[in-house]
Amino acid sequence: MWRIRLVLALLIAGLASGPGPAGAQATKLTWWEHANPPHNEYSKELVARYHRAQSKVAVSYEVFPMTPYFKKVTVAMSTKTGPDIFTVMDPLMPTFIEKKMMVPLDPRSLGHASIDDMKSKYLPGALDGYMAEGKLYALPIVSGTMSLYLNKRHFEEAGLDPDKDYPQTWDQLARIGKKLVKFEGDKMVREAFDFAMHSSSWTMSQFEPILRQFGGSTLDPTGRKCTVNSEAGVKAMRLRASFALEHKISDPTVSVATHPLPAEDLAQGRVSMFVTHPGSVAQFGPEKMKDLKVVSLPQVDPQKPVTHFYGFALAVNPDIPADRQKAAHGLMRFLIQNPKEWLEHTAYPLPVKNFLEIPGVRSHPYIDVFIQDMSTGRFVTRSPKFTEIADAMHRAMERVVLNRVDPKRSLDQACQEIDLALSKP
Amino acid sequence: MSNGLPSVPVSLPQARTAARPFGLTYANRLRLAGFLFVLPALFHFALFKFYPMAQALLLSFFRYDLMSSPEFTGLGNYRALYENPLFHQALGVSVKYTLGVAIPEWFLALGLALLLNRAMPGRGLIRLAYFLPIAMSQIVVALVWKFLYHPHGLVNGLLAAVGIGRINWLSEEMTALPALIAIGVWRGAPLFAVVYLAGLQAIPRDYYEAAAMDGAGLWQRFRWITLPLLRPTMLFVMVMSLLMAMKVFTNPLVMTEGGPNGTTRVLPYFIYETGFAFFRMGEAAAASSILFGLALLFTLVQFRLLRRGLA
Repeated sequence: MWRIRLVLALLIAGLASGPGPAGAQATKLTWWEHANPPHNEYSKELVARYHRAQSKVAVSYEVFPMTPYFKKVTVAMSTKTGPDIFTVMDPLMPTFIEKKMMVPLDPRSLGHASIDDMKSKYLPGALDGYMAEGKLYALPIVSGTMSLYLNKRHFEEAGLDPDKDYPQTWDQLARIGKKLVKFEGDKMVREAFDFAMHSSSWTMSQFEPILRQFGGSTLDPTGRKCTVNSEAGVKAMRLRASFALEHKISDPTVSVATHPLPAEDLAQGRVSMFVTHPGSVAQFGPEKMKDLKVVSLPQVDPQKPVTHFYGFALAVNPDIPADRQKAAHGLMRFLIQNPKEWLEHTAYPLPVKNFLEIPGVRSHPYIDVFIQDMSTGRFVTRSPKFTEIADAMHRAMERVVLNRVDPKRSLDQACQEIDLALSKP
Repeated sequence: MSNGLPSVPVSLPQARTAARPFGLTYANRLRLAGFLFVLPALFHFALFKFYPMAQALLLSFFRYDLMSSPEFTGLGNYRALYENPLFHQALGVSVKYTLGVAIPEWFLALGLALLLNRAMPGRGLIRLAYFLPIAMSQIVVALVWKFLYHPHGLVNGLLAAVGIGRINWLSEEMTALPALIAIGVWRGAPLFAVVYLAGLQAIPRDYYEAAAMDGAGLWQRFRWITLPLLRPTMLFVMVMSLLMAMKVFTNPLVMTEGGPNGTTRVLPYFIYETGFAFFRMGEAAAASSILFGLALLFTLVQFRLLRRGLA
């Protein structure tokens, strides 16, 4: 009997000494993110710092692989088991907003007087990708663009000066590429240039800027009709495929096989030029970056530059109680308070207006190029059916690049598929 | 007794009727015991298999995007699938993959089992080596093969050694599906070889000895003893290999994401994409029901064909 009493006493003592008064009041928040090692390490560090800075909010930070991450978020939200805060990529915003998976953010809780006040502190249009009907649904933590990385050593070997001879137009890229490409017999052993071929979201990020440089668009202004099979679309697709089919400076089958990090081909010296995001600077590391140089995305007409703008942002679950939503806002405010640190850890700039004026930022490798490309950048096509549109465009590109299908025919088929998707509720 | 053994006086009917717990006869108690033994498994199946299957079938008549309430659409989802060229493509890919994997598996597995059934040095180790691929996680298998199939990977390296040029296995429409089929066969054949091996070892040696004494050769013994007695095992292997191949998902997801140009988008991947990427759970459920119907049809046809053979 004494044993039972002892156990009961221990249990009661244990319960009584559990979370103290502060612990009992602590709000628990869960934050989910996609996997990106440099980014995740910094997020973890910030969470630890947040815990040290205050005791009222406890944050549980969880990371999931990129491919299933957004599907996991959706399923969790639909079953009311979603996290309090989650990271979302901007192309998915229309879908998530339509499905009411995010609460409109309160600018005052984020330290701004109003949405307009907040917008005035960011690069023009930088928040647009996260807004709908005047409401902001997600707070950007990192923003990116697609720029051209080139291997300086390969340039020098080919008698080119990487500081002067880098391509500013796609035509120049093709000409320079012919000097960089390497063959053994008829086998290409080093590509001069490559686009990523492994995923539909990369296809959109790399194809749409070219499409827009030709004056085209994937959808009409209403967003209900596919227009990518226009003359501009055909020109863009022809250009997209020309490096492999016409100029023969690219082997598209290589980057299909180098998923999930196609840019690694550049770091390994298998390709001399590659279009990728600022995060690659952190992923490659300083040693590999010594051989590389970053320049602005090539253009059809350098006088009218069009580039790509994208980002990852923090959103709040609408199903959680008001006090947790408020705590989530507080955490988000804490997380983005040091844009310079985000840059140092992830190599991604934050699109705030005064970013380049922050002491130390300008010394970050190629930050001026990234900010320049971001300033002419546009978000990819906004549609609740983005995933289906991107998949259809990816297949269209594969048909042209891998199977040599006529671009017009392939884009007509893509438009049929996209229109079918758009016609569905 | 005709067999010469002494007869044992038993009075089972009296014993059975002497005590009747719960008022049940012995036969009914046996039935009840059997039922109670399978009840936990039945409960598990009902809760975690049949109920979700019934729910999926029901959902196939609704429009549901995971977030809003389901809305009844009758046969709308089935009509949408009928009009969707990607569904037809996925169905075709699934059929090609299933037959491409299952049929070679039947023969390879049987051949392997016959080899492994022979006396040879290190037989245990060899059997283990063949069985190891099955013990590997599917995701690991997919990743390893992705590296092997890389344009600069081991497979091309070996081919280059015999003078065959680089093949971009996973990025060419011609080779992507065969590359996945090869992995399916590589992984499945040893599993079914083990099943065949169990079937082979259940055949009494006496039959072979008697046949050999009658002058039957190797082929005749295989044709008239092994094959007929392996028929139940063959039925199992055929059904299971088809079902397993029809459900393939991880390899296309990890290795090709259904590409290039949809040539490796099997039906399970189409279902996953439709439901969780495009938020059309009703259509995904309808496609699942069609996949289930196909699996059932394949199974019934095989049962019928092989049972006729057994009879």
